[in-house]
Amino acid sequence: MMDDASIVALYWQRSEAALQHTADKYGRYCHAIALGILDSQPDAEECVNDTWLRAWHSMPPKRPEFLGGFLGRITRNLSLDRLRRRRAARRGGEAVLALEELSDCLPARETAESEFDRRELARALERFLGGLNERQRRLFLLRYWYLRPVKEAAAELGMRENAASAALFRLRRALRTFLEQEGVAI
Amino acid sequence: MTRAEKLLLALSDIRPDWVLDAAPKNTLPETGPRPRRSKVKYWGAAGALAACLLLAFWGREALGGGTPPAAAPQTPPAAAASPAPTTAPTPAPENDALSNAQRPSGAALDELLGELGTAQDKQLLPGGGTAGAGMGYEARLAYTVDELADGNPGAGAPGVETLPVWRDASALPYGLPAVGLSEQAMTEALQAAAAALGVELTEATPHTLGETGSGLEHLDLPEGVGPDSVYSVEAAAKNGWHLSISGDGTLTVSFKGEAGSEDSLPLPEGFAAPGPDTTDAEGRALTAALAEQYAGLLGMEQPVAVSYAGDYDIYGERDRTYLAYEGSGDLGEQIVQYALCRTEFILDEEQALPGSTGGLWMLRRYDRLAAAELVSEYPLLLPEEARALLAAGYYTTDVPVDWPGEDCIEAVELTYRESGGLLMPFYRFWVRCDEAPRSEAEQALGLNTYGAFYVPAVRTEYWSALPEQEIADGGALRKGAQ
Repeated sequence: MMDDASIVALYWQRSEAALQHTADKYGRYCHAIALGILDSQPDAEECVNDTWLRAWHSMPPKRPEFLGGFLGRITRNLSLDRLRRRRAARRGGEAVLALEELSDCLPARETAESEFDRRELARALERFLGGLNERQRRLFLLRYWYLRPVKEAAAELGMRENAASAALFRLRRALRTFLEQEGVAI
Repeated sequence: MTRAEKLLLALSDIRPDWVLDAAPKNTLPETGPRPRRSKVKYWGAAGALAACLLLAFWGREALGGGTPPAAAPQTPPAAAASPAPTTAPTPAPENDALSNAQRPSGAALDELLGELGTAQDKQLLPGGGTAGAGMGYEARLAYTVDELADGNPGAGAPGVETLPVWRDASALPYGLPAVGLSEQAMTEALQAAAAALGVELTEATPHTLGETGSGLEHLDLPEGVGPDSVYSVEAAAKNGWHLSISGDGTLTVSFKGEAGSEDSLPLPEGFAAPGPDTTDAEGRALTAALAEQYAGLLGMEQPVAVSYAGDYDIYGERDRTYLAYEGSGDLGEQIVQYALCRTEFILDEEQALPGSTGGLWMLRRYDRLAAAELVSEYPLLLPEEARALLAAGYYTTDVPVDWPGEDCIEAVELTYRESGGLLMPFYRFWVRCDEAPRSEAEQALGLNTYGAFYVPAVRTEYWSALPEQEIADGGALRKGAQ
């Protein structure tokens, strides 16, 4: 299977073979991300196709080091955007559950001086995640990045479901404490 | 955009290498297949229910029919005037491997199989069970099989001759939550729980299958089950606690500190926050205290406290369990109570995270019999008969390995599984599976993989069919050849 740098080079050469190699290598990954958020095969397929289109239009000028991470982020954002548009019409699904769980993690904005934009929030999240051990970080990301059900996230790590629920509770509370200490508010 | 949505979106921008490291197994080509484990689930709103009855960790000699097993009964003390909970003593585990002596073979095995489905006094039962418990296959990681001990009352007690079978139609396919108890029954159960806790509830909210957004119109569901079917009812208490009950009778209570700013309750006086070094004895004492504190909610006449660390995850960590079950009644009744009607206390264990308080975070009371109907009491195979059937290939498993051989059978226990809408007893054999896929982390830790292999525990004359192997293969199930 072609390595990431070679695939990115194909994009820069405007070779359509880039799309085929991308689909071969990351199609399953991106589809899993979209399906986990949208819980709908047709919607997931559309998001994945939109991902390839976005990738084609973003390289060049971008030259990502981790192509899988780059594509996964595109898919995730597209899926979340589609979910937001659907959410008013119908509730349910893991993404909505995850949103409810996270709703208490961010302090409410109290002063204008404490407002962070998305990029700074991401950096704060990185500092928080950097303080976790690998198990804690993987569990948190499986639940809130990949939006996997708690049962599946637990199975990925060989944990019991109740133990994973309890661990996620502690992580959410720790995140809230961390963001408060950092002065993060939205 | 809500604050939670902003947080969810901001997560998209974190380090991609962390994201890729956390990718679900078999979604990235370079990670390759990793082992998939699902813990034995005594609980769960959907899917197979497996409740563990430990039998042979302390009575392995019984399987081989050698010297009589050491007397290590797990029955609690005789009922006294005080309802104070008792703690189950930890029996000394056997060190020798399961004996092969005095197992039925040849003509005796043929006789067992010849009796297949010949009973006429009771309903015949399915030969298999639902495979696994979610993703992957059912296995546990441990250095020795003794570490899998989980305080079951049936340990070392081969004298269980019969066990009941129930009909329970609450479990649904496709990972949907259970639908069994009526909305009214669930609401009344919530109100009773609130009264036992001394709290006042706000208005109860039912949740229907249609809210799960699972495309129900395309699914083949049991008659009478549809988008309007209520699968749970929840309510907030005015002191900040949260109560919910599901269609299979499972009650969950989430606690918050009285001040409203802390998310767990302080432990009973005299108990320190548990941690990685907490011993089984310390855990049992804490569980006993909690069972006494919440006696009104548990409703147990003679609660037995259990605490164990159990198996390991892929990082070599263990999560302690604290549970209580009804200890009155005979051994068979205790076995059922442990398996299907336990109460579990979930603690906020100290893990060096900011904000951890080490208190009581949640309580979960299981009651699988609430939505079930007794079919009958069935006579059981002897453990050695079940082992002979296992060795002859008449078993169900979802572990993706060729049969490892009889010398890899390291323990056996009685358990309940759901099969064809019935809650039935099975013998679960823990078999060391050296060929099971393992991650580099697991190999570095030197942990053994113990796969679950099931044989129906009821006598063969009540089997309607032979058990079939159900082996996970890339996430799908396939029927293996016997």
